[in-house]
Amino acid sequence: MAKTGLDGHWRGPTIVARALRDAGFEVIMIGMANTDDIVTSAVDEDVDLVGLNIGGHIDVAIRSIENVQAVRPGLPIFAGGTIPPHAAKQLEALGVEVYLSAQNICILWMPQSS
Amino acid sequence: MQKSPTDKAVYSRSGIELKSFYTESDIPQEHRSRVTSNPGDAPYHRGFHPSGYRSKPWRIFQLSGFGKPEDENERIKFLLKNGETGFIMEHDRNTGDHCYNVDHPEVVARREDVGLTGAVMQSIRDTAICMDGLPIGSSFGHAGGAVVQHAPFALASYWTVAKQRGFDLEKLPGTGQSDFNLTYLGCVTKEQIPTQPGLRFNADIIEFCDRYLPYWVPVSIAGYNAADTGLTPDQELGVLFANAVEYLDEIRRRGSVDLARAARACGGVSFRASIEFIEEACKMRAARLMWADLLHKRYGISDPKVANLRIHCVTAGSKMTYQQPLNNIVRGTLMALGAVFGGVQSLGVSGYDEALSIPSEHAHQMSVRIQQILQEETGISNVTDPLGGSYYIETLTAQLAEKAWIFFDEIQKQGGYLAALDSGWLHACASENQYQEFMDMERGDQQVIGVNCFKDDGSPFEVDGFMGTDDAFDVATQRLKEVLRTRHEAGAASALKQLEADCRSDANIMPAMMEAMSAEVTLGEIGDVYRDVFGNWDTPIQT
Repeated sequence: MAKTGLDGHWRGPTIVARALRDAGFEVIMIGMANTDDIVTSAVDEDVDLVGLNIGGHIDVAIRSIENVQAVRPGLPIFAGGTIPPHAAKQLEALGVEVYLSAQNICILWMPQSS
Repeated sequence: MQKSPTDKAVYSRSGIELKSFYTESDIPQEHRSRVTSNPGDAPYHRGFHPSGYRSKPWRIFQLSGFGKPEDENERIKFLLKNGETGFIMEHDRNTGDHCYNVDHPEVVARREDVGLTGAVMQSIRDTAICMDGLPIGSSFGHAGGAVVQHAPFALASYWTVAKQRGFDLEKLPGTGQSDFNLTYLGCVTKEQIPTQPGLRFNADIIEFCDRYLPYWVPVSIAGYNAADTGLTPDQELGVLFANAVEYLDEIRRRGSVDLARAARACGGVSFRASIEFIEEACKMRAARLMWADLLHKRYGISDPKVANLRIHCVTAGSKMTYQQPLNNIVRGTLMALGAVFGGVQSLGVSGYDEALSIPSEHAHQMSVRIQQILQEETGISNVTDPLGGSYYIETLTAQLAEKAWIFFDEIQKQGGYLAALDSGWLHACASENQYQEFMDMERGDQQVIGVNCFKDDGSPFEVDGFMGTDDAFDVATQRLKEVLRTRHEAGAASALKQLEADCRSDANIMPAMMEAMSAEVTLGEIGDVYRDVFGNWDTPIQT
């Protein structure tokens, strides 16, 4: 789990992390991380899933998603945060599916099967 | 015997069990004599002044800012034109909160984020653009130093621009903030100075304002930031006064400022006004009661001018929903109403697009209009403390204060407010509440209209997020190069050296900060000094 921006609101990612831990996942939280940190962590930790808190501009999130995809094709990525409708549409155009959870928008990447 | 649904225990957000109705005998014994006091009289829970909003309407005071300094300037002027009666200058979070210049690698890696939630102000030249034409002598300005490590820069740059424009600092009105709850509890920065140097900065600002800016509120503790991180209303009260005690104890230790004047300076605070608006109104009343009590018992201060707490209030951003965003206009109105019932002096209403982005121009205007409708059409300003004397309101006010003191005492047992931040104890309290609140919504125990019930949206309105401008990073990069190329380099180097020397000693850093502003030292250079001298706070939570 990482935050793509430098906005430190931690409420969202820690709630999600706790829910995942309760469901039996091991969660590695790397906090505010730039694209390179996220890619390195995804590879080094050999994760099954990448979670992104994308509280900022959608381009920063897209860069992270694309770079992770480049090194770990097919790795599922999910994200949540303050995502305005036009940004959600941009993500949908990339093949990301958008769901709404109880408290905030949550986006789940459904990778192409290959 | 089987219980009917009406027998089920009901609790307020603070965990106080609520009766289905109240009578005189419910009012706690120690509170009964207070009920007969008048607004403006000790213990002040009934209000700041007997004539209340008749003589002084609450200030319409909205968070504002994005993009380039000129974008922010334009938005502030728009709000003032629409009737805002003070203004708040937001700084870019990436650069401002972290004291980075825009060429810092962590900022470059997120260049599109720059300017998203505040204007980029790296030197006094940027601040001057943002302040251009603003009525700084007659209106009430928030210079944007909400973050502890950023505040000395934000304040000194604002004051230096004001001075250069011929304003007398001795008469300049406005407010700082320097709030620990913001970046040490709620919205933790990637890097920031540890809490003890932060306390020193705040005490330095209090001293400096006491000497040179008597009409400026030097620091303003924001219970808001604790509450929107998850603390309950009683905890919000407890944490705010535990924080105030850190400031006043430090000022008393220094002995450089008259304690009563320092207490007056620290007595302009902010709270969150959330959706359970009756409890929130009681919270504002309890806050005034507690402040008077604290000053009297701990510091022997009972001067009415000091013991009368002044409250700014912001409606709860986290209660604004992504779904059916126009419903948030109703939520904003109700939360504002709670604040006004509580007798606050100043108010900001979150935008109806809060869950999507920073406010669009229209959402911002609506936040002002909500307050104007309350002020001008409802007649709410005619009578002070309209809920005063209600069995329920008085009981809940007293119960909240009692419960808040228990939380205050718990914080003292943790070693005090700053120690409870350093250890992560407050984060754990907030985190537990966050999760319970989330699960209440997931399970449907807490119904939120349009989110987990009544989901069909028949509204034809499409509301999208407001993304500001897309040239903030590029323009800031150009302007940084420009200032570094054209400033008087020897003067800037010498001012920076003096600032570093003062940071390393126990001198007040503000005079050197003022000199640094005049010499056009940039934000990132100052941040580098801080990082070198003070190091980095050991963040107790992993986000």
